[in-house]
Amino acid sequence: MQGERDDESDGASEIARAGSMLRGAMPPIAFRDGFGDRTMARIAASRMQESPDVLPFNAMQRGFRVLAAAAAVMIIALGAHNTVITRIADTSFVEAAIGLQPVSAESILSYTSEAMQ
Amino acid sequence: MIETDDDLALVARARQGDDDAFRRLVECHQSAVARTVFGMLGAGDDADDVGQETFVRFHQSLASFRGNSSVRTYLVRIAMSCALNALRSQRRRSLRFISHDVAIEQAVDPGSAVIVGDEAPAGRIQQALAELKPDHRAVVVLRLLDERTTKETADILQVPEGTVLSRLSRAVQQLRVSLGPVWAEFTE
Repeated sequence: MQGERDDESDGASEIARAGSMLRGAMPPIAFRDGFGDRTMARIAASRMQESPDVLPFNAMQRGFRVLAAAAAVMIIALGAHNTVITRIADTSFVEAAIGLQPVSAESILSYTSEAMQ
Repeated sequence: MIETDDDLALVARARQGDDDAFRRLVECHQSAVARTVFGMLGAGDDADDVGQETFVRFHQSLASFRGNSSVRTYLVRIAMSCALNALRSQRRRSLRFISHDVAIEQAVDPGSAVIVGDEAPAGRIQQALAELKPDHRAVVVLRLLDERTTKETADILQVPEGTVLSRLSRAVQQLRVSLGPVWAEFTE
């Protein structure tokens, strides 16, 4: 029991010594001069972003991003669709794209499932 | 150091849009934030940036600050969270851009990737601190560098006190191994 207490106090004193060693090893700690000014400028900038004048612009930007993402998904989907038609109907990609070679939905599905297998 | 009552008065004024009051809070508490941030990230532009981000986040959360903990403790909690996020981003960046170069260097000279660190004891101690896992480093910074109690450390990191003690024990063990004779010289 006494031994356990000694071990605990050894551990605690080692941690205390480790603390004083680490504190002694750290260089003087301070932010660069003008930290307060830089921080207040950043706060002013973040306040601008939240202002009612800027919010509609931010919303518009987000809207454009969503539209661009949707357009990209549509282009990829159309590309994949036309590639499948090109293979089934043995036609060119352009003909498939402009719909000169209509192909039934069933054949697209069967071709896709074959390709998957 | 100003009293908590003064802090609360400044917070109340800052909530009303008084920038001078907020600036005063920055001046009063920047050294506590700096100790946390520098301990976690070391000196450099990242530390300054994370320090600013800490106060920006505090400013944004002024309305929800209820004074359950002191302003200083609240700020240290935000600073620790920002510093841990910065470390995660640094790690992601290094994995993306540096791992390839390190792999090439190791292939050319396996010894070249070993971090030797500064030969001066202070430099070696800082290097050993930087090599700790972020969770362990956070405990060392709060408990040993900032001299907070186990309970305060647990509150700031939002983990049980037992977790703080076990992380501290593992961190000290790793420091002892990585520092070798320097550890013996300073702690025995």
